[in-house]
Amino acid sequence: MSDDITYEEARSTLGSIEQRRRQVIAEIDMPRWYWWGLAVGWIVLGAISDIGSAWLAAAATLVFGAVHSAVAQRVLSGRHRSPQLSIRADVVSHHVPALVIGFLLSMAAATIVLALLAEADGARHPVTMASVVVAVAVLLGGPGLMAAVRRRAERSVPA
Amino acid sequence: MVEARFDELIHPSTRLSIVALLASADWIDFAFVRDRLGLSDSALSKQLTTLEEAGYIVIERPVSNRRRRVRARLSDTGRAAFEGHVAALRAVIASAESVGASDRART
Repeated sequence: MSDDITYEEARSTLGSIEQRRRQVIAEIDMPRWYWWGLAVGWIVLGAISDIGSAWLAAAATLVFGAVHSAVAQRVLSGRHRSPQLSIRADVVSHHVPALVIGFLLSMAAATIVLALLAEADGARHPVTMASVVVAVAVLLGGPGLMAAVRRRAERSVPA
Repeated sequence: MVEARFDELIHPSTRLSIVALLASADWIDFAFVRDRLGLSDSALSKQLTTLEEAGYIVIERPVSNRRRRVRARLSDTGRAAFEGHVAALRAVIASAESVGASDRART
């Protein structure tokens, strides 16, 4: 039967297979609420650092970290944004959790640097100010990071 | 190494589209497949039944939020058939390209 298939038909069929794979790859993402939750939590932590005691800030950071690790187990792979499907692990880069954690660590470092700069400039609430800036960066950078993951997955499509 | 094997059951475009979607997922909801392929419920059910009877897919009906959902996943047999079919299509292309290359070399 494959002898009856022309070169053009084979190419066209492989093209449609690739198109279907891309429809699944388009679902690689993390839920929007994850980035919003991070951003809001970041600002709350910053505000607590400015107006609360060091103990309260430390406790809030621990709670934030615990909640994040509980949530992240489910969403960090980028394979379960939609409840309508579960994307195969070999379609998504295994480095996604490390990429996201690396992104968050760089955001934490940016918060510290910005807060120190704001404090040196005499700001009344330097950590809150830094946290708001970084929260915006998380909201913009997080989805951008996942878009890069999707582009990488598309490039690895064998067709 | 996947053995190239043309599969007549999954070659028709609708069934091939269904299998190609499932090949990238652990499982997919009925509604997702229906919406992406632009099929009616009955048309998709018919194709899924054909694939299920061939042992290429497994239909599951989990209950979530008190609603019974229908989802499909590719079986090992179905995955092997799909990969063999893709390999057969690639072989057609490789064969045509090698004939074209040798024709160009002669002229």
